[in-house]
Amino acid sequence: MKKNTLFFTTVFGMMLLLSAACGRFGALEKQPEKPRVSNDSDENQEEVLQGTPLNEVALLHKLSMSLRGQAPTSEEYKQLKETLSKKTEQEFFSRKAKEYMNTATYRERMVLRLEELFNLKSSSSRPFLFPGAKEALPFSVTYKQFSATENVFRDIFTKNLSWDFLLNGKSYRLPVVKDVIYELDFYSNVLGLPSETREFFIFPDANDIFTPESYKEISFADDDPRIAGVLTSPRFFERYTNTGLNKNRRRAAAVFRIFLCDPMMAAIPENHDSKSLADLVFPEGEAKTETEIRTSIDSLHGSQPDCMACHYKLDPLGLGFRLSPQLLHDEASAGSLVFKKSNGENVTKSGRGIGDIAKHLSEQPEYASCQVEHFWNWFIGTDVPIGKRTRTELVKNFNNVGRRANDFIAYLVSRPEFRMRKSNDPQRAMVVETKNFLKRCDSCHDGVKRATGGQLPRFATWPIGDGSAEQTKDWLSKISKSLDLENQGKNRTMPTKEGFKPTLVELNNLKKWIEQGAPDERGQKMVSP
Amino acid sequence: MKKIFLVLIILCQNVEAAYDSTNLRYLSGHEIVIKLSSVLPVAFQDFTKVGKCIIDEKSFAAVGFVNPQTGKSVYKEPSAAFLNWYQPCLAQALLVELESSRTLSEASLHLGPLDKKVAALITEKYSKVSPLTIPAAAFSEAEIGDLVAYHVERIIGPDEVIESLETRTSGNELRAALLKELKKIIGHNPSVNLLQLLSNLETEILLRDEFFIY
Repeated sequence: MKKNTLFFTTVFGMMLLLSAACGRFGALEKQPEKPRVSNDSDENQEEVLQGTPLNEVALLHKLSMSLRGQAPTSEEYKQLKETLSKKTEQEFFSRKAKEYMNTATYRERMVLRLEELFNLKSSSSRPFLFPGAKEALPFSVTYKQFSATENVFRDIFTKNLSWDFLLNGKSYRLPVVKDVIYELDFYSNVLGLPSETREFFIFPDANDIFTPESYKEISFADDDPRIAGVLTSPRFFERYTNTGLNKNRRRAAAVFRIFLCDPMMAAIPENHDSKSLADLVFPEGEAKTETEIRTSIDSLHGSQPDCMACHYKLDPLGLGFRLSPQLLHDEASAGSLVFKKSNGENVTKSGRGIGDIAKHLSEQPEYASCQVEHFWNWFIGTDVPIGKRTRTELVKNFNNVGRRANDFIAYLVSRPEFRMRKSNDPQRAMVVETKNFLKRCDSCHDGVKRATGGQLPRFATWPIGDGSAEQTKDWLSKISKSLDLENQGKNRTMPTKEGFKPTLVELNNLKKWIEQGAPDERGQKMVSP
Repeated sequence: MKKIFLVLIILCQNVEAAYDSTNLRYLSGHEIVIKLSSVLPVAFQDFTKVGKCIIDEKSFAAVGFVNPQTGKSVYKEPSAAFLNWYQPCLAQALLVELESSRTLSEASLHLGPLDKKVAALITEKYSKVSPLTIPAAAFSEAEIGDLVAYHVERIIGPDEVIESLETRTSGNELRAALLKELKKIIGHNPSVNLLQLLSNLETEILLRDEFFIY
């Protein structure tokens, strides 16, 4: 009895894992995957600066707060007034941006942003900023903020390195405590260290408490295929663990999310059937052993069409990590970067190891486009859409400055969008929230074929559908019914139970938006209310 | 407390994607500690004295850190849970800061435009006390008004900054409200000293939303 319970629990658990990896159960009809370009729903928008520009005093405040998280001093405001009288404010702001970027608070804020981008657990206290903290409150200082991974982040901003160092970096700084080099175990194979010495090295728990006395620098050849910046650092491996089932797909998914802005959500068809995968695993009237079921699930995972929407790109990239489940292996494992561009063109770039794959990735235009979007979100705002022309300009400047992080940030904060006053207009907030909500719908529905033929339109690209008022109205009505907006979502059919759960506030916001004639960011209504 | 809630309620309805990623508009928890340390520099020289400003596992979500599992913060904007962490931190840091300001030069950051008058009062009348123990009643309403204006600018910024933050309170309104509050305090307790007055004033400003947003 106990054995059976354990077996079915295991199978159910595996199915849940499969479901999580594919985004859902079942629905196994073949569907083409339409590639997603980051934020492409805004690509065709007319580019108009929203809001009113800040005056110089408010701009200085925003610059200081955005870069170093603290307000300018009274002395700085005085300096600004002097430069205004001399009409040298442009030079003043440029100088101030550089000055702020030389501070420890700027550097640590950027480390925090990268921790968030990589979904790493942040360190709550920052001994780099409060030297007394580590002596006074040792329990709040943990290993992770001194780790090789964090030091890669830190070096990018301290040394104004190329952003590509995240992928192509070949050197690390490992913390040293009482003559013990932490994290060296992780690199011991690739460094060719004799095994008998390894017992002296420690791979710390993330919550180990210590303060490093110094750092040990290790570096590898520029063309070493085994090494790929943050991707081959201990915290990345700890965060994105490998199992027999996920086969490094979790790591690959993180790479796609962070570096190509691909949310890695499987497309789902209109007619959702949660039972179909279960039917495949447990065919009616057919007896299967536990081993057969395990094999079957493993084979289904990564071969079914809906799973393949992600797996065709996850699996080849995951191969690049194949030999290194926990620690880096001394041999590289070959893999490939595979994805579809927005124009449908396939990209396939093979590499001897993860180092080569990461280099290929950094050479893709989609990578540059995605990375400038991260910077945009940090400094301009997620609620300010990037138009096509702006995106092109950003990428051009990103490349022109050699992708050096600080130089690009300096450029970004000199753009007119940075100077815009933040909008507290409730109408605009409603529109922005609606668009963000509909983008979440698109992340699953994008490219899905309808049972009646054709594809679903992108709901966050306005006007919805072919641009006619009739079709837009028709789609708004379908959205309204699917989400049961009239009854606050009580009998909604979308998102499905495996999808995200919309909040009441989101549903009411959407309802209000539709009732108001579905206005866009400029207040232009798609339909008559 | 009431003020920050009021401002937060107004803002929370209108501001999108702020606390969510801890980098836009609202400062995140550890950034608030950093900013607080620039306003109260003496207190943060010795972190043992401001232990309530530590962000531990319990307050991690409340102060806006992103949950690594979801990539989102639990709270979209500062909530009551945030205030539960921030208020004791602020109270402790401010107390340490003001109590450490025993000499005129140590207190000058907080005395602002009053430092000359305080220096004169020490010479004439209060030679045996530290500057912040001088009774607030020794200063005119205009002088207290100057003190309010100085701290509003020091902690938040000039009027142009306050206006740009669009919290629906102008610099004039903010200063008038703060002055009214201080007058009420002096009215209730004429023996209140500068330390108590400054503590009230700076607490009021440091609790306002304008301190956290940009």
